[in-house]
Amino acid sequence: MKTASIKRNFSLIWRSLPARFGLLVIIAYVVMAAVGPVLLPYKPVSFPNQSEILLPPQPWPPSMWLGTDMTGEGILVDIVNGAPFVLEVSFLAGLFTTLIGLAVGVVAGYLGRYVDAVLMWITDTLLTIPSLLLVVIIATMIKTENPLVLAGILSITGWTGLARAVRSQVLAIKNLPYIEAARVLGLGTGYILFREILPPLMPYIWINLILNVEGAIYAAVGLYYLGLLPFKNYDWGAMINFALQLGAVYGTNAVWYLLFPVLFISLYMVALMELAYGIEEIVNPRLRR
Amino acid sequence: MNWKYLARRIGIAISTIFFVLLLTYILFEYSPLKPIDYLLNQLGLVPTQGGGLVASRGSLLSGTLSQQQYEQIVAYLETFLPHGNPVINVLKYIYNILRGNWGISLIYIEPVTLLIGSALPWTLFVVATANILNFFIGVYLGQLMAYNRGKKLDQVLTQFITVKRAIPVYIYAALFLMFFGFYLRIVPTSGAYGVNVTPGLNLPFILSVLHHAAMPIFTLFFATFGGWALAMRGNVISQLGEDYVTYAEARGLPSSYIRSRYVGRNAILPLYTSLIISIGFSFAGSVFVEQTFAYPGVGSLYVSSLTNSDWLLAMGILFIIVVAIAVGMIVADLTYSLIDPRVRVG
Repeated sequence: MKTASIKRNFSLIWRSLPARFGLLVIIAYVVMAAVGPVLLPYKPVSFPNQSEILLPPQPWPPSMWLGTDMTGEGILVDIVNGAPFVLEVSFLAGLFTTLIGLAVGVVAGYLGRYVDAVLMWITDTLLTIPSLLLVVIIATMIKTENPLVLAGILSITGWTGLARAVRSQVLAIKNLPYIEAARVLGLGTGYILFREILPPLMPYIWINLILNVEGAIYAAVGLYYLGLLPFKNYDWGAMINFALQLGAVYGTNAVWYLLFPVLFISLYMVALMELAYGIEEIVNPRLRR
Repeated sequence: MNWKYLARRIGIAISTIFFVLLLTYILFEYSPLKPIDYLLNQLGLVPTQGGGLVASRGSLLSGTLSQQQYEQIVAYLETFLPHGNPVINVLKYIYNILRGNWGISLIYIEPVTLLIGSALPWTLFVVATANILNFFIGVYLGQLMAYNRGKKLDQVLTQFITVKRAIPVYIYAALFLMFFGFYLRIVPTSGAYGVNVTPGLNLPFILSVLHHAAMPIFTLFFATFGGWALAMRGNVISQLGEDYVTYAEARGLPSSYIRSRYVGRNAILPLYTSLIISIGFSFAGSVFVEQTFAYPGVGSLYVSSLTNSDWLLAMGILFIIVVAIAVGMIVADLTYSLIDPRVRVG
């Protein structure tokens, strides 16, 4: 039963072209983050050789496929070593955001009255704050390198949209006859919530999770781009920042150092967006072609 | 006018402002980063791995400081900061902020209000221009897409906007700076106006300002472009199904008249509130753009204050932006009833 439904969902995703593209790219990124650092370990160079820095892509060895950075290390090596951090932070932040939004929405919608009023007040308050500016100041003042803590900071404001949507859905469903019937049957609150109220929301929650992951990358890479967190040479955001500084000095040589991190970040974000779009196309009959 | 709704909005605006003040103050009080490090750095002392300090080249002080000596200096300097009950301190801070005393910046040694006041016009110029351009072009494109829905043009534009919107603003900023600034050298890479013009109402100055602002405005415009088009497209499509459109067509009105006077007006209305809100929120994108193009607005001031642990300046900037958005939202709600008569009655 369970595996059959997974198989069915998967074949639905596979049929949508954007979703298939997104899924394949994300799997490729996960593989890269898992095996990349083992195959191409990062060896810091203390004294860079002037003839080795900012070289264009070369056919051999593999670490030089994308050219070299300003310490003479291969750009591919930088990118695969920076990948685990970006993936960890973005997945964790997306997960936290979704879980908080889900919990707040369900509690507010189901309990109603004062709890609902207080939770919605907090939601509206956070909606008024430009989340990126808030996240930037908190992350800088706390100054953390721990992916878990950073993901926690990134998920402070992102959950409000999901919370509102879940709340209104719960409010709409909770007085329907079939929920009343479930109550009369003596089924527990937990059972009613997870078996009766939430399942119709699942596609929406999945889409929200993916979009939250996307939003987390925007902020996480952006923090390194601005140079506000203690960075390493292989953090993707920091690489773009370095490339710009070098571009001002060296001109054309730095172009590969700028283009490849930009390409890897953009592809990851576009893939997430396309996956979300594909899932929406599947669950929303009005978009189906 | 729905007074209960308005009262709630104002209440939320006030709670937002106090939440931001409280949160930043708590961070300020307990942050592991000390503004003192910046001062010591100015004296030529660089923190080492172990926690002590080393004199950098050309420093006024010679030799190195141990961890113990460093802590002694920090403890001594801490005595200049207000200490005591944190609850009373935060109330004092909020009281001072409301009175207009926002503290003095550590890196610029000038009042925070003065610094923000001189940087804000540049940011407002860039943000407002980019947003307004975006709104009008988006509304036009959205209508075009809605009337051609399902056709090639609509599909290509929708797909393009979806992909374009997935990519963050700093990527565009970095690419544009690299190619237009460093390679083609057709736009300046820093500053708000050239060094050889005198600020004032003269032609060279205005041209220089426009030349310097062109790239930041274009970047912000390009990065946020598309949202309005998609929203407008959806609104127009849903309006087209309404009975009044069928009736207008049956009366034999020219279709261009129906589009601009009937459908267009009704489709734009819901976008009005989000226009004011989105101008407030694009301050965040402006941070990346200003930092990349070294544009002297509030955004690059925010980044430089954060890099140097100049907390009072950073808190002031966050505060002013949050106040602007909160007030903007109330203004949007109040004025919406002016442009949409249905709200006034209902």
